[in-house]
Amino acid sequence: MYQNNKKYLLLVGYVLLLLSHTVLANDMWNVLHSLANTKTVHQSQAPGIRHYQGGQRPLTKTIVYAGYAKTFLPIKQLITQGQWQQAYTLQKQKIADDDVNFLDSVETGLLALDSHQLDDSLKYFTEAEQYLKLQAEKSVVEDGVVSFGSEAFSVITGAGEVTDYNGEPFERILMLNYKSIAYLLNGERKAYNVTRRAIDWQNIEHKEFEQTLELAKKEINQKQAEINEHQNNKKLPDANNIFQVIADQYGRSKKIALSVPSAYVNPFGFYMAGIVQEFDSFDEPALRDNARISYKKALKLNPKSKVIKQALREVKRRPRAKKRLVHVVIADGFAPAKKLLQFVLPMPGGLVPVKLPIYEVVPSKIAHIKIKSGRRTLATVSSVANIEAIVLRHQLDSLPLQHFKVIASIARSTAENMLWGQLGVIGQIGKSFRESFANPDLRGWMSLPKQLLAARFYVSKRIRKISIVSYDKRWRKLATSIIELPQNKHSFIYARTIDDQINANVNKTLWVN
Amino acid sequence: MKKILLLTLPFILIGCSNSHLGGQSRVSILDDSSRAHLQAELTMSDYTAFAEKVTNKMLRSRLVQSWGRKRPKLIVGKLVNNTDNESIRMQDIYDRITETILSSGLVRLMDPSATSFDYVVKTELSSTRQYGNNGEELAYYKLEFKLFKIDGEMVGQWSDVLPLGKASRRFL
Repeated sequence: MYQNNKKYLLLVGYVLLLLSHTVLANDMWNVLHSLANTKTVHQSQAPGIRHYQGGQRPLTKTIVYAGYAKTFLPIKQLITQGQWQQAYTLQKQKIADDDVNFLDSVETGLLALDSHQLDDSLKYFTEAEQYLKLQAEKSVVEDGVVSFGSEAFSVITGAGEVTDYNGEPFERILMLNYKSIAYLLNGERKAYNVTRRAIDWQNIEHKEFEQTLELAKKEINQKQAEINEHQNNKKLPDANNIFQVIADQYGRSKKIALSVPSAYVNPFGFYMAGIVQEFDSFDEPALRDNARISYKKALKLNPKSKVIKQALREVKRRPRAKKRLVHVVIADGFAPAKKLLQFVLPMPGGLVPVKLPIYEVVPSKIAHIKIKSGRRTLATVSSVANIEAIVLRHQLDSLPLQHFKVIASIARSTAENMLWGQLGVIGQIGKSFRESFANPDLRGWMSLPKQLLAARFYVSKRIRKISIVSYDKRWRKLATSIIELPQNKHSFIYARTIDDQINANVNKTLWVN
Repeated sequence: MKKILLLTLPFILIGCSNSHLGGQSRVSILDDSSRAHLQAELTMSDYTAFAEKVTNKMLRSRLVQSWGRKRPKLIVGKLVNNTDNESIRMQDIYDRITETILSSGLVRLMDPSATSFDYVVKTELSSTRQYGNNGEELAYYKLEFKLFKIDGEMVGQWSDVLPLGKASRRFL
């Protein structure tokens, strides 16, 4: 259904594309400048809206679910209730008529994994990866025409979800991280090959993002100079003021975002490589040093991780005799949700509504997780990858790119105010209709966890069962899940925890003896 | 109508020729052993040629030739895939290695579960990859054999590298 709407919007987009040429060919601020001088909509026409006035009054803003994030909510609700299978079935029904695309594939892949459908999960993650490969194979012209068409349509109409979605960089890395988890649960060493790709991709993505940001910053500086020039002529508000208003909206998440040095410090790829190499080293002791190198690289990306420190310490020694190794990976809670942030900016031509995507933290009740055998604690899990911080850091670093979107949004709205105002009642109906699908791109991997935690320990061959126990901040027990270990075998366990729910999955027989 | 056809024909021809050239431009032959590729990934024919080349290197070595008619018992260990590609058909490479060894007649090939043997050859396929700014890729695949005696002494090592390149994105 979502895809059908997209097709319809794209069709309309191509019609509007012809009109867009004039708008896009001109400098956005020149258009804005000329439109700002036409006083068609006045502040009095929007009663009851308090707005930003040079920082004197607080800005009226709302943050709501909209677009893709809203359509995914019923599935998220089922996950929260621990109905993993129902969530997976609903997601499959939702995407049944759609063409293959990145977002549907990764969401379904993760839901399949949490529903213990490993082959399906691998199929969907492979599909997502294949989709990205095909997108990358498009020629410069083909890619340019399609992107320009849909971007232009998106700028003019404000409908941000009509373009192809290739995932945010951190989502593409996590897609591979999850694929390697699925392989490991399936008992396949292919987990190593996939995790190697995840490590490579993270380095490439980092490099590309830095280049894009550098370009955006240059453009922003240029625009800022133009705006300041207009501002000197008292025709437009201060650009720094506008950008400061935008930056303020994202201020709440700044502390978490700055807890990681960049959005490209996901150590999970290296950690998974370490796990596979450590399992390998039971057959080939010489490979133990490879595991040490991988854990060391993981620790470099997350120097505070207790579990990585412990793994690095232990892998330097020989494996414990007559014991078996158990690796546990836990995906906790939900990553920040991509919502719609709305506020109104006063412009010389009237009030301009601004809509932007914003990642909002999803709180989790869980504060501690222990792995136990009876009453004995075998290990306490600790963080490997803080996805929440990575997502918010990505948002913070992308702020210059958001400035562009606001400029486009202001230009469009000012032009609209003028056009619709001239059409009277019909204009108001047209404006409402247009507003109904004017949302920024709110697509994002909604089922992702808040963080990837891990524990690593040896157990006696006699132990058949272990339990995962979650607690809140005050150490009150939230949930318990008992897991049966494969007999006399090294094991890998993956669990998803959400508040008072735990959903655990243990590996099929591994390739090691 | 005729004029329209005449006007559009050159554009169609340019389009066709460029798309053809575009396809070819993505293929890089880096040396005599590399093949034409649309992706910097190994194909079936690469597997077999690559496996054969390294196996023959081992069979032609002074050490193996010195065995003469002794025909020692040899185990080919499980081929380990340490590349960044889980889709490589490792069984095909393994089969090609054993087929080449068998047809040489120099050794008696034993099952990996056999307890009586003289030598074991451990095999590994690995890769490294470099990326350019416009989608260019350079992948080096390395196939390595290590020959060990029953007491663990390494007596020989052979390898070969297969470079595969993918040019930047097509323009048209």
